[in-house]
Amino acid sequence: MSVGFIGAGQLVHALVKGFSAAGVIATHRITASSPETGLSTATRLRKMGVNLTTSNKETVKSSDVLFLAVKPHIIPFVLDEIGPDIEERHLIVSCAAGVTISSIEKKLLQHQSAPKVMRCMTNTPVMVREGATVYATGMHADLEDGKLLEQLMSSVGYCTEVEEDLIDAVTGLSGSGPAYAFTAVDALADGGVKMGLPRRLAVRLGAQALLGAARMLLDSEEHPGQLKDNVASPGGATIHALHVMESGGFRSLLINAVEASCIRTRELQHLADQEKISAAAIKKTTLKKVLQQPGVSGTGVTVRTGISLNSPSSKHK
Amino acid sequence: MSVGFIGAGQLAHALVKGFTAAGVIAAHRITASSPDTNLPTVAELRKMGVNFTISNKEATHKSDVLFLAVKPHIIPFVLDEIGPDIEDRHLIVSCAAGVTISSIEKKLLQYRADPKVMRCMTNTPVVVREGATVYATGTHAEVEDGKLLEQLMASVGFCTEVEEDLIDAVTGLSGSGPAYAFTALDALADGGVKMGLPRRLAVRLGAQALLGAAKMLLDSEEHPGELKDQVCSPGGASIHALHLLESGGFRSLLINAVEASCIRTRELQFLADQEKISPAAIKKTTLDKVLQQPGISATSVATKNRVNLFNNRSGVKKV
Repeated sequence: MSVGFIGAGQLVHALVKGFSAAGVIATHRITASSPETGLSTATRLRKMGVNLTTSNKETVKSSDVLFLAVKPHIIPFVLDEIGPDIEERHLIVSCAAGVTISSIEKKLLQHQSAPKVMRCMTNTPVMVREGATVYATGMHADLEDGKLLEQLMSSVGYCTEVEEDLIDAVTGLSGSGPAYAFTAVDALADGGVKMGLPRRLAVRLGAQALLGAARMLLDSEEHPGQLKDNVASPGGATIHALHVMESGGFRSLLINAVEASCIRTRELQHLADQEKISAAAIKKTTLKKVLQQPGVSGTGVTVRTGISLNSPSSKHK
Repeated sequence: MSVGFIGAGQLAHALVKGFTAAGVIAAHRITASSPDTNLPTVAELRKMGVNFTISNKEATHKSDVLFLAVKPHIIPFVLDEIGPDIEDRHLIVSCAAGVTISSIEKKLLQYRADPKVMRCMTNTPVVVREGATVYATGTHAEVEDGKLLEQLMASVGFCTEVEEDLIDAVTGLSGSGPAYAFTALDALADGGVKMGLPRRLAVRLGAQALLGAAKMLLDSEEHPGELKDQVCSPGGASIHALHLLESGGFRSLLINAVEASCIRTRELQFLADQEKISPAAIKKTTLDKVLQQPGISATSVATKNRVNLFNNRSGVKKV
């Protein structure tokens, strides 16, 4: 089995690193493409033994499972470009936040009668094989396709199937979650340093405390509140600290964060569904590189402003 | 080597669970003592094959490394009780927040010329072998004693030696840290549930996201800010969320928390050093059980009001 990635950025790098550490697939059976050869992640992918190309079409030809790992607004361009090259064996897995399975199927149906499409939301800790992934299955993808994806993604962390309408909420929680955690550790370390600890030790202890607590919760049947109670001894240091957190509305800030990320995801999806992506969303230099690929014609990739990109008639200007 | 625990509560339970999972010591070579047999952790310890006793003296006799895992204000009573039973081989490791090595040494010097004392601050994730532990070494403990403790504690997570004056700050950060994390996870799950996720899935995803991020940070040379940048794509969902966190002073709340826990720890230490612990701090029923132990006399355990507990003359009752 070969795996391809359209895109060679952070997510691709993280997934490849995780997959190869897990041993589920050898790097030489992985192809990644990007018109942007200057990306630092592209260099790292090359070093890992991944086949790197500037041609998305080449990636499609070299793969069975094809991950779409580009930014949401790029997806329509990519689908137009690779549509003609999709074959029956291909399983298309979109990782783009807010891009619906039906919008992808709609585009691919111009080229294939039963495109196998899945959608997943993962996160960067797949890099250390502790990712959190959910996926939803499109109309023409089978149970086995789901199992295959689950096998791949389970090798790099937690993975479960969900109904597609939950994916935006998952984005807000575990998709963006690592960013909340990095911010928290930075702040905890600041607290430690304020009270006299050297920075390195403070970062280490803060991250270790979070990791240990998360591990305890995952391994336990108990409610997080119960585990919190177990740590907070009467009149002790911990309950004093908890009080100041509650006074500042700590919990509320985190609920706000999950909500904001989820809402923004839905916003991006809505903008895409409105089918009015400005071609200014894609750099002219990038577009030029794409157009220079063999097999890609100007009519295969829409370049005019205000064109409906997801409409079946997009080929006809 | 045998390990003993004075105290059979949350911490003793967590350490025993971690040590036995790590295979560094067999449960039958561990003894734990507490006058309170009703604690739920006591039943768990028994189930694990630990020797449980109500006699602190017995736990002392049966161990080489002796952890003091009781609340800070109980420490003086315990030291008075077991002081006469400490031998050359004993390594005393206090886990009590805010109790200084020198206060313990002072007490034990009534009974021995060179008591080997160490102090550690650990946390409950030792139970899943992902603890964070620091320790400081007392006047008479050797480098080998430090290495022995480090070996034990490293089997259940991160462990490093520090200067004793950093331990209160560590308490504020990684000692209390899991409580901050559990609170955060509860809130993150609430957020997920608000946006439509089932509770179980929300808890699972939140915990997995924190775990993964923490692991990335530990495995990386990069600054947390750098890792945060990498997750935040331009105009994307994450940066929108982060803005709200910053607007609400999220970072500041965490700094406040670490500070508050550290300050409270120092307060507790100060109260103890003032040497004015009221015996009202210990339950009469508990004290009664302790006094019923063979070898314990009323004079060896201070029972009157306002007795100076850390004073060398505490064996003499004030009347």
